[in-house]
Amino acid sequence: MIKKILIVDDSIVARMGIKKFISSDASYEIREASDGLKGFEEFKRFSPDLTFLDLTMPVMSGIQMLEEMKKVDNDALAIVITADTQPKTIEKVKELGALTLLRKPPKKEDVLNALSKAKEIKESRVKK
Amino acid sequence: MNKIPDQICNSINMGLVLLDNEFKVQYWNQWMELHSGISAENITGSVLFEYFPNLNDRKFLRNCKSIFAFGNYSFLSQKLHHYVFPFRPVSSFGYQFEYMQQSCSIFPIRNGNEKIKYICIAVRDVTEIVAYEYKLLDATRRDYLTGVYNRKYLEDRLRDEFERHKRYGTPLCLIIFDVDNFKNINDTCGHLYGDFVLREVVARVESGLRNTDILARYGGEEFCCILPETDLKSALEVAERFREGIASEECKFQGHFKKITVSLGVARLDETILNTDMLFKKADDALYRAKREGKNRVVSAG
Amino acid sequence: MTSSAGNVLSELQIDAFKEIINIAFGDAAASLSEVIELHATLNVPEIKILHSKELREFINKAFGAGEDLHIVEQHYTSKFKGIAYLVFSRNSGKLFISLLEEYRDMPANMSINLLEKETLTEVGNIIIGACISKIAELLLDVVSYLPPRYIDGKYLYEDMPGNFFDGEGYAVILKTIFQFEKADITGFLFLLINMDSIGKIKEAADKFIAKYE
Repeated sequence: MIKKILIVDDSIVARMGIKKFISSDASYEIREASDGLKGFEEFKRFSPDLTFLDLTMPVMSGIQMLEEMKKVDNDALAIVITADTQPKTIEKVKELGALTLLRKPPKKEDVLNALSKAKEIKESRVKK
Repeated sequence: MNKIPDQICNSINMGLVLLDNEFKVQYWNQWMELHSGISAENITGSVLFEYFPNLNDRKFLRNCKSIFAFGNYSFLSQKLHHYVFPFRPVSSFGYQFEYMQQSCSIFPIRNGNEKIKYICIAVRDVTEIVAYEYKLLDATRRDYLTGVYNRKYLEDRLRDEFERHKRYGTPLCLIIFDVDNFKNINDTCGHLYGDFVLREVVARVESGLRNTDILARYGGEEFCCILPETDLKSALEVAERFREGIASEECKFQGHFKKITVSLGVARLDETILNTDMLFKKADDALYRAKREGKNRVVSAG
Repeated sequence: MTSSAGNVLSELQIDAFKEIINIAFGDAAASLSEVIELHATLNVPEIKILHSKELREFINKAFGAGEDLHIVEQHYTSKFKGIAYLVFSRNSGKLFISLLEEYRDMPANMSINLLEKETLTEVGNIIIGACISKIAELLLDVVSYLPPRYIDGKYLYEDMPGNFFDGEGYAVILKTIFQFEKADITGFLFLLINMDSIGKIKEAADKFIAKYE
């Protein structure tokens, strides 16, 4: 079950967008953060079931935040949404165990598909 | 076929070529037909590189790809590329160009929904302008009396060759020479004779120069020669040829009749030399030794 | 990220505009690596929006007094129009060109300075085109360009158009770091946007926001 979602992006509009898309699916408890460090702190406090994060953020980048998240909880589910679509970036993000990488500006269906995938994975883990 | 855009494209004094994203020619205007000798009929539908393999190169491709990807405009300057299409020059304009000098711009052509369908290459013949530019530039680089390069150009050029040596490690030598007892010659035979001597020195030395060597008048009676891609042994041979050529015959002019000699200092660019001033000093010191040791000789700085 | 455009654009509009540029640049970076055939990662940039009056101070801080600069200038027109400046320090410029391997096919009698200038101008044109065109794409717009011009850093203040530093326009500044395997090269892209275009930018920002409200 995915109930708690954390959205981390320094752009207000970007966060608005994700919120809007996922809210059309169901009612989630959503928290937001505007940089990688605040995002990581919120991650520790809030223990979200799923995190959406941008890569280029001040203070702490998305990559750094992802690394820290995985140290705390290796199973943490993360979806990266970024403007940087270079192959090296995609590789790195996969390496760090993110669920998937979406290109900005994200389409509603892509976000919802990624959300479904996250739900499936969460379900399959609970069953084990 | 008398539509206005067609008439414009075929009357305008520039080449117009349309390429699709496979680099196949989709339009070839009359100017292109005229200068290439290739009819639009023949080339339309073919890949450009079948007719112009020189264009299948990194720089050209990079510019074209960019336009298909971004829709920007590309400008291939004559300064960097000289020409895009190897056409014969229309006239020589007083300068020998192997090919027509061209300045090209490339821009995107979109179809209705803003997708980029073609790129258009516009080719301008700038040969005449470039020839004039070269002549002007050359005039500012020359010494009026003797026609060899002047000091400013020599120093600029030496800096360039120095950079090149740093980058590629190619050998470089410098010869500095001056006319022995020149002040005395001027005082006894007059300035007209002095001028003649300088021109004569240049004439006797020029035949020994290679295309890449740069000979310049550095001071009143001082000359300097840059020898790129030359080792010390060869440079010394060249210097000796200079010396011999000048000393071999007397200089006759307006009743004056004198044996003219030069002293020469030769220096090689090595790792101890950090800048062009140091190279100069090295050659100059050698010249000074040549003067002290009796004149009319070549001294190597080593 | 600071912005002094606050009295003209709302915070949300500024945010949206930055996001548009962020997306455009990420896209540009990915495509650019293919076009100039350099294995590079281009960092999605830091974005600042400054009033032209604040530019002089910014440039001084960014580059240090008297530093030797290579500058490529290009005018562009679309719904928003203005002038783009790509700025490299002299050393970065040299490094960049050596990585492009332009020295390899250099004609024998070409001065190295000329090669540097011309190559930077040509590749600068591509970089500027990449960034601006992607922004224009997101704004559903098409851009036309004038030929780029090289400006010697020595003449930075004299050669810039009269209203660059003291006029009424806004400058969007994108700091870019080109990372190559062998070296990092820092370049700045300044997009000077005409005051008249601010209205169009507001429109575009609003449209963008509307998708997510």
